Amino acid sequence: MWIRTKGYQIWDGEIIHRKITWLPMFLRGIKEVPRKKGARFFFFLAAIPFFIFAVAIYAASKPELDFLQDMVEVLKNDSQMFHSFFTNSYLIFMLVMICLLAGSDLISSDLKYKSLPLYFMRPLTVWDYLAGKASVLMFYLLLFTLVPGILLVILKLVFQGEMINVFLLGAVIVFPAFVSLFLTGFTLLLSSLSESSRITKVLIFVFYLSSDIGYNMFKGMFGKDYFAVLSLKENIVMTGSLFFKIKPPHDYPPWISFFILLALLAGFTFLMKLRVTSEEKKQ
Amino acid sequence: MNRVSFNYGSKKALVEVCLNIGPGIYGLLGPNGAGKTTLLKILLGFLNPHQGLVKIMGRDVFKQGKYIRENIGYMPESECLIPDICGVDLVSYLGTLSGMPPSEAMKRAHEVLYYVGLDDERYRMVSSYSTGMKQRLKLAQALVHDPKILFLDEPTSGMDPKGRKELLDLIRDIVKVKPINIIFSTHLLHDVEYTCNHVIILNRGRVLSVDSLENITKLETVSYQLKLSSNPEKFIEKIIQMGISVEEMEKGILQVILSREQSARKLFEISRECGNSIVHFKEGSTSLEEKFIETIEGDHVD
Repeated sequence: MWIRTKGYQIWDGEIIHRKITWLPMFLRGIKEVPRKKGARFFFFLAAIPFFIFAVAIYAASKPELDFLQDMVEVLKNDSQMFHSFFTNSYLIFMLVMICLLAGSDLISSDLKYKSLPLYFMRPLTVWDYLAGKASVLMFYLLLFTLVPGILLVILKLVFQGEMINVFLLGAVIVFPAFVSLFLTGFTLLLSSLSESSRITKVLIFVFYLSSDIGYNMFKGMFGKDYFAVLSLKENIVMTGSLFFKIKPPHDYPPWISFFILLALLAGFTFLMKLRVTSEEKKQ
Repeated sequence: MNRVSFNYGSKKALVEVCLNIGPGIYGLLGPNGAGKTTLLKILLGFLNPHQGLVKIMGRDVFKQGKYIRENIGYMPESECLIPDICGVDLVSYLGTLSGMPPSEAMKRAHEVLYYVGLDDERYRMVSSYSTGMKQRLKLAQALVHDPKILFLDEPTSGMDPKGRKELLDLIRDIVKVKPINIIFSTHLLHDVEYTCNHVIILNRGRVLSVDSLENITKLETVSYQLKLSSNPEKFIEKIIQMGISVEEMEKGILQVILSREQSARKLFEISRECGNSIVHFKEGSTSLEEKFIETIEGDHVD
């Protein structure tokens, strides 16, 4: 009879009852993303706005650097500065690119390889699974929003000697967390709709661009600014103006955009849960 | 399981299934669509039954699912492995998801991969594994946290005969070392005969039989295969007259079925009376396959 010489060995260790059951998914996920093709290049591109604002903060403390003084304009109002940092079109576009890179295959590859039973036979609920997947993308989105935001606060303190007020500090923390959560929900829902990460990537890009095109098209046709509610990007910008208490760029109350994003996030989460639960039953 | 029913729309997948499973290896047998996979999914807590109670280790599968899932291992039928990871990392990762400390999970991953015979391939990417290796890897991930109950869904599917025997030997070996319940769903009756000590026969969502393999194959009749030295026509004629059933098989071999009360000695006497002699004689048994077909065919419920 063929049996490995040692035979079956009983494991005498103890199972840990983790409060965060999805922690191993998070740890594995964040290690995997930098190994993807082009990941480091995208990370570099996504970090560019931080470097620009960091240089501006530095330049503001060195009036002798004349050639940099144009950049300092943006720093005159702290709220305006952080709003500009978090809602500039380039950063939002790069965040969408990070969603493509780090999030498009999070659920789709499990659907493709039918690996959901490997997770659900273990002490993980559907919510744990979704939280584990979301945590990976959230980590990278926060890495290019929350982390640079906090670093900018520190740089302001170091070079300009002034600490921003507590409410603004709260906004610097909560706004990127909200945007990252929204983009994570958006990406994971699209990732759960297809077994192909390529299709997911296309869907993310098409949804993002078409919402903006739709806004510009309707605005052009009817001349009404409130069509900005159709655009993901404009809703993020408007929500930013609510968090940072600055004049909104469009002529409707910014809380409308905030609630649109909130409602979309709830919808994404609900649909994603339904989708994963139905796949769990199928597989 | 107590009176568990499950429907897919209007189609009844399980009908008031009652099962009480003790230690040992249970073979779950049934034709396609009998409800084997649904039964496994309910036991694993993937599907919520429309009626009935499911308890594993005395706990409700749906109320205390997390506790139960810490103590079960599942080897799915589908090729469900994450491809872009090496074998040892996959098993260790799944071990940590089961609640093992990371260092212990890694140590144990090496151990179970050695046990299933993948020690040389443990650093290879899963995507490069052959079908047989993937089956072994699936067994390894099911064993990594040393479960108390193991669910195996078609574990030998796609394996060559040698690999299949090796895998079945591994399963038998586990039971020798620890008191574990194994539920083995398969359509390969030989695998059940080789490995299991109990058989559950399922048809159209109902449990037709749960018994030990020994009892289920116990004979009301005994079959013998024999070959005569010369023309068997006279012999056949005579035993048919005695009400004994006989069937001619290949290469002149006859299969004779006697009732339990009838002695095989009688066959030798008849052959002598016919001026013949028995040159080959082998006692057969009613195989599980015969019993299985008989049970399924006897199930006529509208």
